[in-house]
This record gives sequence, C-alpha cells and structure tokens, in this order.
Amino acid sequence: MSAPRHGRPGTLRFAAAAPHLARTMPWGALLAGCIAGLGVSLVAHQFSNQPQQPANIALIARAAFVPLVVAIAFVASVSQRDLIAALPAPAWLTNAAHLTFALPALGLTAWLQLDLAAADLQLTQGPGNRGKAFSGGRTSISAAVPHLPWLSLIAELIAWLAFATGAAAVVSRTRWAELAGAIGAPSALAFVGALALTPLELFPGDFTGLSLAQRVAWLRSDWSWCALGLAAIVITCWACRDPWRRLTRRLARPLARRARSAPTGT
Amino acid sequence: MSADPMLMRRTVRHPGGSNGAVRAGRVSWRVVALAGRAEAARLCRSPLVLTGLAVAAGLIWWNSRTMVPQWWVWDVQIGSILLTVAGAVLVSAQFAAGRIRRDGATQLYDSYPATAAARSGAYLLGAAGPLVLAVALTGAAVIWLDLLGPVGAPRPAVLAQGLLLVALGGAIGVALGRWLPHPMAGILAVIVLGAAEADLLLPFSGPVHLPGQTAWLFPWTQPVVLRWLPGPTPLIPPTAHLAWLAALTALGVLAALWRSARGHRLPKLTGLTALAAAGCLALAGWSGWAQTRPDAGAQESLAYQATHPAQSEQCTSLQRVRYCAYPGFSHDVARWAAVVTGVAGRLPARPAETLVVRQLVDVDYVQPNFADGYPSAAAAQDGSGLQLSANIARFVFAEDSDPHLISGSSVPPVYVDINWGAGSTASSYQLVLAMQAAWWIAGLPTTWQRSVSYSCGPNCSTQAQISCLPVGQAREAIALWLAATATPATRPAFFSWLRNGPSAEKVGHVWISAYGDASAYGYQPALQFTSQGAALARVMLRLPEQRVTAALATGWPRWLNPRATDAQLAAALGIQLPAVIPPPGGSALNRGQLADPVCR
Repeated sequence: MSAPRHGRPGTLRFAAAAPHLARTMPWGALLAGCIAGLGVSLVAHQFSNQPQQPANIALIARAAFVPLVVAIAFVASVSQRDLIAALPAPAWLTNAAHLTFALPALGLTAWLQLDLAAADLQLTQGPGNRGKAFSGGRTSISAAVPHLPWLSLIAELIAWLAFATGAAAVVSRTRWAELAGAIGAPSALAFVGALALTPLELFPGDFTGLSLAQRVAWLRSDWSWCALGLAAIVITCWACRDPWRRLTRRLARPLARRARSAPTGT
Repeated sequence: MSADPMLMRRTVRHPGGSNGAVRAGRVSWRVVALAGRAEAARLCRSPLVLTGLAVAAGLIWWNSRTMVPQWWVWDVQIGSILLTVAGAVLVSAQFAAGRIRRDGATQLYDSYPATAAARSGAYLLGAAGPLVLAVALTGAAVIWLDLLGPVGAPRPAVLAQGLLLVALGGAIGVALGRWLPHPMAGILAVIVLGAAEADLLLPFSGPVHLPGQTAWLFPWTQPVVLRWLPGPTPLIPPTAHLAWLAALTALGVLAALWRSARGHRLPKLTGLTALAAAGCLALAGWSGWAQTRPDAGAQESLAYQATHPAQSEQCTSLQRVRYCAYPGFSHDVARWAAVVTGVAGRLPARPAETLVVRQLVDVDYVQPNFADGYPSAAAAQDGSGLQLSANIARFVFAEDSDPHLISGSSVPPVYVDINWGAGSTASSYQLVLAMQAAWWIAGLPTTWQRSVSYSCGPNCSTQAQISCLPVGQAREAIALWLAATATPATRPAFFSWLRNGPSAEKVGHVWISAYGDASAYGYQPALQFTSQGAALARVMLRLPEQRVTAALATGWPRWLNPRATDAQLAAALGIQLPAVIPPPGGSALNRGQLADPVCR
C-alpha cells in the first residue's frame, strides 16, 4: 500500500489507496456468502410447497440472511491489521474500504432474496389462493393484497450485518485477530438468536391481515432493530480506530516545541 | 498440530529412496495415535464444542421438563439434539485441519517426519475426543430420562445413530479443512446443512416438504408423528440409517485422506482409498435404497392400533374404574387413577355404571392447518403411509363428535391421549381428565354434537363446533367443584383457566358468558361451562369440603338432574348465588354465530 500524505482530503486518500485495498479484499468469502444466501432463497423458492404461509416466507428470508452475516464478518476482519496499523494511513481506512466494496454485492444479493420472497408471496396470493388469510383454523377473506415488509426486513438485515462487523472488529483488536471472522460470525448469530429469546418481540412473522397490535409490533421491531444496529455501528467505529494514538501534525507541534525547549543535558 | 520432539526421535530417515515414501513407510501408528490424542484434547477444550455440549444438555433438560418421556420419541430426539454438537465439531475440526495451510506453514510441516497422511489421520482420530464427550452426554441423558419414569425402552441402534452424527461432523470437518482451509468453509457448511436440518426438524409447516422417506437421506430427521403414536413407528429405519451414516462418515474420512494420498503420489494408498470409497458408495447405495422403503406391515399394524384401541389396549380395574392403556403405558395408569379417584372419592354415592378411562391417538395427529387446505405436516412426513394417515385422521376426527365410536367405552367417553404432562403441565392434564370424569358423573356431554360453517361477516367465514351448555344447572357447578378438588394441582389449574377470561356464547337467542377450549395440552374434549356455574364453583371451593359434601349428600341423585338449578344448590349450601356475568364483547359480538342448545 502506498503511504498517502497527511493533509490530503479523505476522498483523495481513499481513491489513492482503493486499488491496493481492493487487492486485500476477501472476495472469496464475500462471494461464497452471497452465493450461499442466494442458494438458500432459490432452493426454498423452487422446492417449497406452495402456497407458503407468510410466516414461513419471513422465516426463509431471515434464514437466507445468515450467510450474508457470515460473509460480512470475514470482510470486516482484516488479516494484515498489524501491518496496516504501522502505515501512515489510518487503520479504519481498510475496514471502511472493504465494507464499501462489499456493499453493492450484499445489497444486490439481499434485493434478489427479498424479490424471491415477494414472488413466493405473490404465489400465495395467486388466483386460486387470493384472499386467504392464515390465522389458526379460521379462513377469512381479505380484499387487500399483502406486500412483503421490505423496509422492516432490510432494517433487520442491516442490524444483523452491523452486529457481525462489530463482533469481528472487536475480535480484531484482540490476540485472536486472525480468527476475527470465524469468531465474529457465530457470535453475531448467537446474539441474534439470544435476541429471539428476549421479550422484545423482534421477529414478527405474519404480515397479512394485520391487527392494530400486530402493526404496532412490526413498527416496534423496526425501531428496535434500528437502535440495535446503530449501537453496533458505533461499536464497529470504535473498534476500527487505530490501536495507538497516531502522531498527527496538531499533536506533533507541541511535542516538538517541548523537545526544543527541554535542556539537552550536555 | 505441534511438532512434538518425541515424534521426531522415533523416525529414522532411510538412506535410499524418496523422502516421502520413506517417511510414509516409517511413520508408525503410534505417531498417529500420539498426534491424534493431542488433537482430541484440543477439540475437547474448544469453546465451540463445549458450548455445543452445554446447549445439547440444556435442550435435553428443557424438552423433558413438561412431559412424561416416551423412549421411541426420545432416542430420536437425542439424535436431533446431538446435531448441535455435530455442527460444533464440524467447525472446530475444520479449523484444526486447515490450521497449517491457513498459517502458511505447509513447508515447515512437510519438513517434519510425520507425513501429511499421518497428520490427516491424527485430525480424524482427534474427532474421537468430542465423540467420547457425546457418549458421556448420551449416557447421562439416558439415566436422566430413565429417572423420569419413561414409557418404553431406548433403542441402542437409534442412540448409536446420534453418536455417528458427531463422528460424521468430525469427518466432514477434517475433509473440509484439508481441501478448503478458509475458516468460512466450515461455518458455511454448518449453515447450509443446518438450514436443511432445521426444515426437516420443524414440527409443523417446514417450508420444504420432502416426499416420503427421502428425509432420511439427509443426516437426520424426526418425524413429527412420533409423539402421537402408541409405539415406535417403522418410519425410522434403525439399521439402514445406521449403515447410511457409517457410509457417509467413512466417505468423509476418505475425502480427508485422499488429499494426502494425492499430494504425496503414493499409489498403494491411493488405490486403497479408491477401493474403500467404492465400498462406502456401495454401502451408501444399499442403505439409501433400504431406508426409503419402510416396513409396510409394521405401519399397518401401528395404524390398526391407532384406529382399534379397544382391540389393542390392555385394561385394568382399580376401585371400580376401568383403565385401558396401550401396551407399554401401564405406568400411566397410576397417574390417571390418582386423578379419577380424587373425583370419584368425593361422591356421596358411586354411579351404577363402570367408568372407563381410555387412551387413544387424538386429533393432534392431524394438525388444524388441515382446515386451511394445507396438507397435514404429519401426513406429509408420513410419505408412503399417506393412506394409513388418512385412515387414522378419519378416526381421530370422529373421536371428537361420536360418543359411541369405541365399543366398551363410557358414554359420554372419558379419554386421555398418548402423552401425559410432567412438572408445570401436569396440572393441566390432570384437570382435563378430572373434568371429563366429573362431566361423565354429571351426565354432561364430552363430545361435540356437530360441526358447522357459517358466515361471520361480509368478508369472513368460519367453522364452529356445537355442543350444549348447562345454563343455570346445578350439576355444572358440582362437576366443576369435583374436578377442581380432584388433586392438589387441579385447583390452581382451574383458577388459571378462569383467568383466561370467558367468551360470548349464543344460547337460543340470548348471549351469555361462558368458558370453552379446555386446554392447550393433551386430549381436548368438548368441555363448555357458563361463567355463572364457574362463579358458583369458585364460591364452593372456598367453603369447607365437609360442608359441600354434606349438602350434596342430601338428595344426591336429585342434584344430577338437569332441573336442579344453581339457585337451589346455593340455597342448600347457605350461600348467595353469584350474579349473572354479562358476556364480553359488546357490539363486537358475532351476530351470525350459531347458537348452542341447552343441555338436557
């Protein structure tokens, strides 16, 4: 990696380092995660019994997010971290660049996954099944065609990805830095699993024929995921900072003055 | 794996021949055993493996706390739970086997006397460490479940399958580590396999339903019908599946060894590996074919047991009550007798007829989503037994509505299903049985009279089951009091039921407040009662038992007459009749709802 000069604007510094950072990007892990996630969605779309219950569609969408979470954990763990920390460029630059490179692939995969889920929902609402709502042993006819809660599921995915990046970034600062992805991914998934056991009701299932209470539950879960995701992003930013205090110009000037004014002793 | 100096001392370089061939010839099994022991110790200390074991132990405890265990369910369930350990072992073994290549130390390790094949053998042997822990966990689970008074006996072949899952996880992990050392490979493999297994193990409505017995071609599944059948189902092929898992494990082992054999160009080892792989494929082919063909005769026999309980059950008489249970459930008779004796023991006079408590396969066998047009999860997993499932389904649906369905049973019938509660759910099971016994004594129906569909609004239709309600009848409050006092656990269960709140029921043209839908556990009879009857029973429960018994003893048969009213009973007890409770719902009442008749 070339050493960017201090004082350059951040965008220029990033542009200069980008080709080198792209070479250190774990593309294999990212693509494997995206392909596996897409594979889960495709298998479920092709082989699931139709019509699917809406709760099942939401379950499949969430299950298909899991490989993406694993992939981002490996993207967020930088294997050459100790070397990078010794370079003039700030340590967070590599993480930020890797995550930026990964975003289009992750976004495309998530969009395809949710599109497949929406297609499953359309099959559920097909001519033969239009209007059937699924609630216990009761069959009710509803005029409104339900839509997949895209925004809610995307908020959930972003929060999950933030957990994984946070966990991997935190582990990267420890002596197990080389296993940051391997530790971060299961930790993030375990955290998501633990959240499912809390009374927060973060995983609403049904999204057809919603009562007011169910709508409120979806809204509450959206806000909860946003809050949790934001907290995880803050942790990620904190963990990506330099491992020591970097000598900047602002810090260097008083130090130099102090050095000049100090008696030499000779 | 570390370079143990002891391993280096015991190998001597031969003056002639290539280094690889010489080393392969010289490395003894002892080297593999020593390195394998070190790897086993590492895997046993792995936080992932220890977490997997802790989760498995927790799941065994959690799942066994509310039901009396049945061994033909639990030996399969132990296998399902060991999947968590197998997953953890897979990831840990993959980490271990890929460590050298991940660290870029291949050349360093190549300079050691132990060959790559020996190292692969050591990694594979290392999987024995977690396997020993899994054996200990399985042993502890068997002892724990045996202490809970289970039904039946564990099948060693099925328990061995669960342990083979752990070995399979280790073999796949090592093979993956040898071929793909990136740590993500193991995690992704567990996620993909885990998604498939989760779909197979979901009790109902798994997104993808595999046809017939093909579910057994995956490492593990647990047919949902297990817990609702009166014996071990032939849907589980113990020997064939054991052979299938053994073949898969051996293939994993060979895949791990193949890379080492290929890398060192050892023709003998390569030939042996290829031969063994062919043998494993043949075994996998046979076992795969065998496990997709369940024993049709055994299936029919089980279906016959389910649909002909009177011919299949063994009956025991205790204190003038006849208890009929499927073979193997004799331990449950004492549990039922404790409840029924609690009801019958408070009667001023015993009925002339003999009460028969009968065990049967209940409607849980076919799920309520049947009504939505979805195939039953139970039937879908049943595969080739669809026709048999349909026969059982017809029978269990008739149980709810036909009081004369099973010859030799009481009318109204008193049923218990295949399961019985333990711990916190025992009180619910006891209350439902006590209420059925009390309903039988009071001459109230325990089955639905008919099932009807009706319109519940402009865009709504629903189905309702119609029974009768003993409005204002003294026998209702008496039956509730008898049921609530049957055992120490039934009283709090009764109050807990009342706390769920009443619903609005239509009787004739009048809306009244009533309770229905007995319980979420066990057999669900048609037990309906009015809020006023419940309120009177609640007041009776506060009175001294002798006072109530004395009041009932005065003209006992009269109290069971439908013409005896709550007001008369309250007067006999010297208490004020609780006020009539208005029905909940107000304007939200469903005007189209069909009316229940009054019990005669």
